[in-house]
Amino acid sequence: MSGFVGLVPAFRLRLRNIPLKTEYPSNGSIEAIVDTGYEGFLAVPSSIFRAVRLDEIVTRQAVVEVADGRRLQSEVAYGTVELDGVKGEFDGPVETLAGLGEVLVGVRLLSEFRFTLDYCTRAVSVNPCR
Amino acid sequence: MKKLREVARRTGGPKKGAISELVDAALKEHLREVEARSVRQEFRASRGDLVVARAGSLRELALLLEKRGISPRDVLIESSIPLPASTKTGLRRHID
Repeated sequence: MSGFVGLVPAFRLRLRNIPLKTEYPSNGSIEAIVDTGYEGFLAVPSSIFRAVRLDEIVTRQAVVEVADGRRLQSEVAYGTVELDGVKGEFDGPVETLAGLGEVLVGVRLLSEFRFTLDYCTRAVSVNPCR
Repeated sequence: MKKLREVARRTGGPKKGAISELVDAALKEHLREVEARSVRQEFRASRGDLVVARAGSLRELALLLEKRGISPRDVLIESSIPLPASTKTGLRRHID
């Protein structure tokens, strides 16, 4: 299910760590904000990164440049995303960085979809490219 | 069509064939994007320099590791799509 949080488009999704057979949340889904200014795939708070045990597999270090120009260190591991109401699983780099308080969907994940926003009717549609 | 003529005039000047050149460039760009999207992502699990498993998805990779008795905690999982050293987030100061 996708829609708006206020005027911001958002998805509901589940994050999986398939190699360790864990997922977050264990029931239902979490809200994720669509951030077209974020070049990555998915960014999550460290509590979610740990809950899905992505910190237990070998991770990579990367850098995220935030809006004010600061360069923050992030921790990256590959995870799998399932969006509510969309068929299929989508694999990509999931990262976490200090101070992140919400789940962000970036353009690398969005590039898998035909993603349409209609602010007149407050409708969001998401369909896989293939 | 009016906008197309305007852009063609701005980019190609008054010369004949400016619209065709613009359409040609746009089509090439679109086809490049479609082709890039259709390249299948591959995941690799490696220990040191040794690649111990490859698959088209994390689910298939996890299955291969399990079959081969390799703990996912002991390998580095990477994608054929390189991870950028840095990514940007938030509002840009200018439009590229």
